[in-house]
Amino acid sequence: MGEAKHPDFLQLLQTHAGILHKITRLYTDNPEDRRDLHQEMLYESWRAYPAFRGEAAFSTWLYRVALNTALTFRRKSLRHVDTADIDAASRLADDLPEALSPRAEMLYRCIRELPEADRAIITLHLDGYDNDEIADITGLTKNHAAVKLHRIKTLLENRLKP
Amino acid sequence: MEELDQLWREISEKTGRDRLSAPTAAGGFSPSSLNLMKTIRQRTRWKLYFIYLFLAAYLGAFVWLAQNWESRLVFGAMTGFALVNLWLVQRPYARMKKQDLLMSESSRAVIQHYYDCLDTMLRQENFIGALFTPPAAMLGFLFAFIEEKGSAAIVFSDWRLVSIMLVLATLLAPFGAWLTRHLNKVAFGKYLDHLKENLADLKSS
Repeated sequence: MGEAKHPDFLQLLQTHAGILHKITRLYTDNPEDRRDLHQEMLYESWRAYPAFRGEAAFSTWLYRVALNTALTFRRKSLRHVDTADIDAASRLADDLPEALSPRAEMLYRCIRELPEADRAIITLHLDGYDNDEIADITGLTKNHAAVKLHRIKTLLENRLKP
Repeated sequence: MEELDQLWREISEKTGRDRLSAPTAAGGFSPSSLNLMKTIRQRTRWKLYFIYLFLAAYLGAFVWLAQNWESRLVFGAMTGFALVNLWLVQRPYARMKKQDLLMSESSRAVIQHYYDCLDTMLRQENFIGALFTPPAAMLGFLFAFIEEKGSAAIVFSDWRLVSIMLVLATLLAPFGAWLTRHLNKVAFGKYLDHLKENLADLKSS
């Protein structure tokens, strides 16, 4: 696949690889799906790269491609995490990043339990995107994005209350 | 809120350190996962190849196999069905190829596009399964009976042969419809629901 065609693409991808890893982790709950989603993100970003005109930062563009891939990803088996499902909960526990503090682990779990679209909104927000950018990336109106974000933040803060 | 930001920074640092199969500057990468749009387009393309194949077979039979005007009528009708089928499949396929969105559109536009393509393909298959399978099978039997008995008039005057064709069509219609729906539901049902759910989340206010 075309390294020679887009010599700067792999370099940029290497620099921003963390975005893909973070989203991959948030949208899958087992290593097999994670590998597949990661491959899918690489493929989609390579395919979309010729249309990247540099109007936005590469990281914003990559975030958009990665989130869209995650939201349309066809898992080998669709496993929705249900907190009442002991198997799913233990699977999730096995799949946490290593060495997170208990509070960070709790936040991570709470975000992964959100609906997928909400997960995208809060992830973008926590990574510093403003409401205009969130609306532009997700396709929501600015007001709708703000309302949703407020609801999600309230929910997360309530869940994180000691 | 500050705590959320702090905790998120920690999560970002830890998850960002993961190393899956990231491409190397020297080696590039080879995606091995299954892309759904590719699957849909491939499946539709195969369907088109089959339609072209059957169309050629029906035309060939019309020219070389049919001995009388009745057999020609049967193969003419089959060719007609195949042409309608081709029209039904070709149009959405062209649309799918033309509107193959890149992932850098908004999430809502991308999910809507995936949903529309998949929904069109499934509805089209259900429609073809329910409406085209029974007459195609009936016409096949009719041709065999005409070849054996000599003319359509003899076939239609024999109530047993007419009954066989009618029973076949009556049984095949619901069976064809059920089977197509069932197979599509098994293959794509969960995925379609998943897209629908995400789309609803991005639309609801």
